[in-house]
Amino acid sequence: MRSKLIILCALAVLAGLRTPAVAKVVFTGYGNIQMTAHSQYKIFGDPAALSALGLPGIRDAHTRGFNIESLGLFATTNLREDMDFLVDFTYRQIGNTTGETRLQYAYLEYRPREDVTGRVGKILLPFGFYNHKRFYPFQRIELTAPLFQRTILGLPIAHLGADVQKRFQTTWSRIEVDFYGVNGYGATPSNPNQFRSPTLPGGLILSNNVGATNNNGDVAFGGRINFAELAGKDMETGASYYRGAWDGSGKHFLQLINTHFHGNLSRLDVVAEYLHMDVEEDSGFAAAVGEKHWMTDGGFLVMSYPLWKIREMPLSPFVAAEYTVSHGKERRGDQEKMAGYRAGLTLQAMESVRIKLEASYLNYILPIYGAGKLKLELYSAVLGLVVSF
Amino acid sequence: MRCWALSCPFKRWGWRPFGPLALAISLAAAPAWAVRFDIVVDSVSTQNTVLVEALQRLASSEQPAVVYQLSRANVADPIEKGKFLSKLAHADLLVPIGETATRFVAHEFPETPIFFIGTTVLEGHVLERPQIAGILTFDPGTILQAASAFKFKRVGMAYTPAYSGLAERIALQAVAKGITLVEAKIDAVSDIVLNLENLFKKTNAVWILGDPMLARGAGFQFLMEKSFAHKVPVITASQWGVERGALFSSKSDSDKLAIQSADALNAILAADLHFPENQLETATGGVLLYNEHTLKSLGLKLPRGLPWQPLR
Repeated sequence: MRSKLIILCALAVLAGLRTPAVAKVVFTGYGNIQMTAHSQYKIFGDPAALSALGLPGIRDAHTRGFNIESLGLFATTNLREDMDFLVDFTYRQIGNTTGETRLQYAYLEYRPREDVTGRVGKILLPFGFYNHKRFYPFQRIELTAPLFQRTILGLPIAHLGADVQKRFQTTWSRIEVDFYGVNGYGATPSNPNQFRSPTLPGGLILSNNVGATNNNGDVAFGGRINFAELAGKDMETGASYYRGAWDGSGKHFLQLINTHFHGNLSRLDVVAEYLHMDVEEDSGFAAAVGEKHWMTDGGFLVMSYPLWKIREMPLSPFVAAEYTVSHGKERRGDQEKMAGYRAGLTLQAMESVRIKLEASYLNYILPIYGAGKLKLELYSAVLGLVVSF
Repeated sequence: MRCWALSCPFKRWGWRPFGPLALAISLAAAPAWAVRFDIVVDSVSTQNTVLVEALQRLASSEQPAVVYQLSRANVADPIEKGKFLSKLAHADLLVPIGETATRFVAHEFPETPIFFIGTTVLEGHVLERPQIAGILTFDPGTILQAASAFKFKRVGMAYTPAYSGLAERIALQAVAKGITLVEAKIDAVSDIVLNLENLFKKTNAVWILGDPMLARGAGFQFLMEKSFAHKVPVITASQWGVERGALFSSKSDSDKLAIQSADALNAILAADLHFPENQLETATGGVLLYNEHTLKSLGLKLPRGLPWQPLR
């Protein structure tokens, strides 16, 4: 009797195992291959400021050559009708080996209702427009993203946490409301009491402040409200907010406020964003702007238009400009300033292939409190090939 | 050995409760054998709503057929494409409707059984797969009737090897209509020029069967150049060709196509995804689309008594 029951149980288990596997992983991806035709930079400034950064004397250099700016693989699996798991593996600094491998996002997406989406894992922060819709080179017409967003904030802004989005359809717009809680930006990896510091390399870059775990007991939170499809057109505008403690004690806060606009009207595509950043008690960047409580204000504008066609392939000229300034709350010291201008052409050779030519100019000023200023000027002309698959 | 609970059911009842439990688990865990098929349509329109609804009715209540619109999927973005493909990957059978959807699905899912509807053009190598079949949306009978009405006694037909079976069936119909079909089986791109030159010299009209090598791109441009040079009209299987200078094609009747497609799909589902020998079926009935400009430039007059519809 017992052996019969064991066989019955085994059959039951086998019957369960015969259920076909439902989750299949689909891989897609992209490559951004670039040829720098000309890149010339000049670093100069007050001798005391240069030596404070370990850069004695004026530096003037130019480069030319090929590189793969990024190579990304997207793995997607649909666990059931209302649930996906998505991962983005991105490789950068590709030479004999890969210098940088990033897990840019990895999250579970759940859609319990048509108008509600929840995400948990390493999520792209619903912040502004560019971070969601134009971060990847296959999503944008221009070759490179705005420099402040790309190099200082660190595109894409992706943090560990959870996000819920609710959508409301009205007669004049689709309103998207996001709320999220994430570990958020922490202190610099080298100093738990500094958020940003005028040191090279990497002290100025905030993306390094995103760790594997939270560095304090505070969960950063924020949200975004976006008015999409305004008046039934491809036009959207909205505002985003982020607040989180950055230091180990969890007492000193970083706030980010953003407003954005995107419109594609009569084929003229316009993206504009404004950012305000407010950081408390940062002894690191006080060495630059002279105050521990400092702020950044800035924005960018990108415009493109498919003006010509070459054998049915759209050719779109584009222009972009950005300006960002950081200063102490009381403005006692000098200001960090970044101004960049870009222009170029993009040829949509195939649905999945874009050829881009971009010329750019960057002017950057970094003050060192009490030691003067460091200045950087950069000119470049870059040819890019963006392939998605 | 001490049991972990005073009222341990194993101690009290032994193996007895496990029999019905195992049976219950077995029934609950047994796979649903109904085939899941999903529908991918270029875009939902009034023309294909009847067809989509007819196909959806064939799905089981446990595994309803999901309808995806390719035009809304933004497949140029690899992130969106990945989401889209991972949903389609659940299907045991994919049913694309329309040329774009059919070519996309055939390219992305080489291992999945496919039953396509509503295309006129498909790569020959795709048709070499064992589990693919479909309905091409033109009616050879109506086309031959129109050719006969135009008094085209000799009609050239260019096709690629995957369309041989269909070409044979069309040849039989042509004989019945009193038309001599001059066939040119084109194996490679390099053979296009010579074969088409021969057809244009020997025939009153040239008809091409749906491999993109002939019916799209440079192959089609060459075909049209030769057509105007020799003043020999081109017959195509699609509206696309008529819009670009071909004399006429047939356009299927959407209601009849819905019934025919539902019957064919039902047969495949009933046979547990066993595909028919004739993998390429054609539609029946419908109207004849013609290009007015081509008609005038060739000095032809529209024969009466046929369901003509102009395309400018």
